Amino acid sequence: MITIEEQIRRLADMAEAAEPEQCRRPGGRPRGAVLAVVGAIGVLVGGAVWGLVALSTEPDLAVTASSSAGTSEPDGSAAPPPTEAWEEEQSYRVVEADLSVSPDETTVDVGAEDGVQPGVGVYGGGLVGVVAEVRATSSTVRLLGFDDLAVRATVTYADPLGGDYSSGFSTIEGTVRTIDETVVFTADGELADDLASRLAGLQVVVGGGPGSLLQGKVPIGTIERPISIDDPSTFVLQLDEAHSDGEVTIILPATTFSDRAVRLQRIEARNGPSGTERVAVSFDRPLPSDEVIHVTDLASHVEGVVSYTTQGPAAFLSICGAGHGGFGTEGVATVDLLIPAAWFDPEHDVEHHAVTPDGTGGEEYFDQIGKIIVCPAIDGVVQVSVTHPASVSAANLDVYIDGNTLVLEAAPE
Amino acid sequence: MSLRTAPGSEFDAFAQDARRRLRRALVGAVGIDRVDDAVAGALEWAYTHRSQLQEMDNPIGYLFRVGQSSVRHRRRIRLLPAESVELPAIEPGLIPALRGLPQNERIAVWLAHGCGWTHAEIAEVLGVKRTTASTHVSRALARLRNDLGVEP
Repeated sequence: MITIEEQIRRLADMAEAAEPEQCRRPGGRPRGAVLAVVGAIGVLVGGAVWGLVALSTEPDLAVTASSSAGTSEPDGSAAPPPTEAWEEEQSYRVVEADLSVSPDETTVDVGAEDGVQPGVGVYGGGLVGVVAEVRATSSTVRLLGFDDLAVRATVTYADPLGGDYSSGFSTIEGTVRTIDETVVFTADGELADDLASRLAGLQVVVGGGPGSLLQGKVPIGTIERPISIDDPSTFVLQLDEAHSDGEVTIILPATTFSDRAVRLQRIEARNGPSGTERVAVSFDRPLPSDEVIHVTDLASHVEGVVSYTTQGPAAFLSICGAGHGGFGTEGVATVDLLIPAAWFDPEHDVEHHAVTPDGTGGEEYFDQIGKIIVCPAIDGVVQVSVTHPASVSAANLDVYIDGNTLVLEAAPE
Repeated sequence: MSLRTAPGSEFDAFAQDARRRLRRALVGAVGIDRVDDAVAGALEWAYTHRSQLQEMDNPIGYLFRVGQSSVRHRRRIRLLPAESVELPAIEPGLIPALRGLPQNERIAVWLAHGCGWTHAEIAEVLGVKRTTASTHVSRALARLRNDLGVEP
């Protein structure tokens, strides 16, 4: 009779031996390691001199120049050809660039001819910024710490009693942005007081979300302290330090732009008998991310996800990058959907789409819908403004992505 | 083993050994279907945090937790590939009985008897006292014996 203990040992032997060959990693290199070697990043400003500098904490691991599809090994040698199992994981390519910072503009010396596209991350170790506008041979970059840039991020903390599977860790999702020249991490939702006090010193990681143009998961700094006792969910972020050499790395999705680009197909709207307004913005393919974030204002839109906010009621509203008036003394309000411009086919004209009755609703209520304006890409987003005669509370809004369709539902106030 | 230098050689050597040990250990926690993802997640973390790992007394134990964490959103587990379940010398009811154990008890008994970990090492990855880890192992064995109708 074999003891249970011995049977468990044999089971473990079999489990160890059962490793399928196709699961082996080329050269034993762990998944994501190539991105991880980029290491830590920081931004340094010295007095009146603007300088953005990149640091690899372990120079021997720095990603070397490469503009070919695939991967670079840390030692600079070519990586083994990817297996099928690795194709998705290695669907990126690396472009090196020199970065120039001036009070007016930050640029890199690579552009559309190098395959750069709006929305991709610029790294010098960790995250430096995000490409905003692309020209033929250069691009402008919005910098974390300087510009009005927000990116999704996570913080993982030890949580022995929480998390699925009693994993010992839990993850807080949130957004990194700059407030009054201070880089902060704001958690989604409120955190318990005891948790807020335990996050100091923990690493903040950006990138890698579904469909995100920020490739990989890159640590950018650590939580320093809560920004105030009144806001236990927002923390001052200490960016990793850097030294100047002006070189940065841009990591691009290996898929071509046209492979990813979406086109707006139609906008349908109705205002049903219960007063609930529904606007459905349909695309020709699923959006790269199905995450939707509420933000406090237009400028706070988040990289790589659909954001939404409200304006007014006011006599003047910010629509399509300019103040719009003429709404009368009572003014109007808007719900603004902010879709990353990087998701769209650059050849696609998003502005001219008729708004039609929602087939699930009924034409009898169509006339009650407010004006819907679709703007061209400005400041990295395509703004879809849905006007309302009165103020709209975010609590009454439900914005979500259903397949190829971005849906806005507004319950009556 | 130094992880700080020569990542192409010493880290690979560390990863090769760690990968084998982690795979064996993590099967008991996350199941055969997710163990490769869990190991990959752990080694990815290890590569990124080589210098931190070097300072740890029990890097494999820490990586075990990282591996668990990396697949925590997946709940169902299978301890062995379906084609290898019916094997001689293994009670047919052992795998279902293992799956039926509370999480910490299953991990504890698997690490203790499947992987040869000490109770102190198990306690570290579970975040419990050593005596609690010992209790988990004892209770797990008692439940398994009861489920399988085996005398102690």
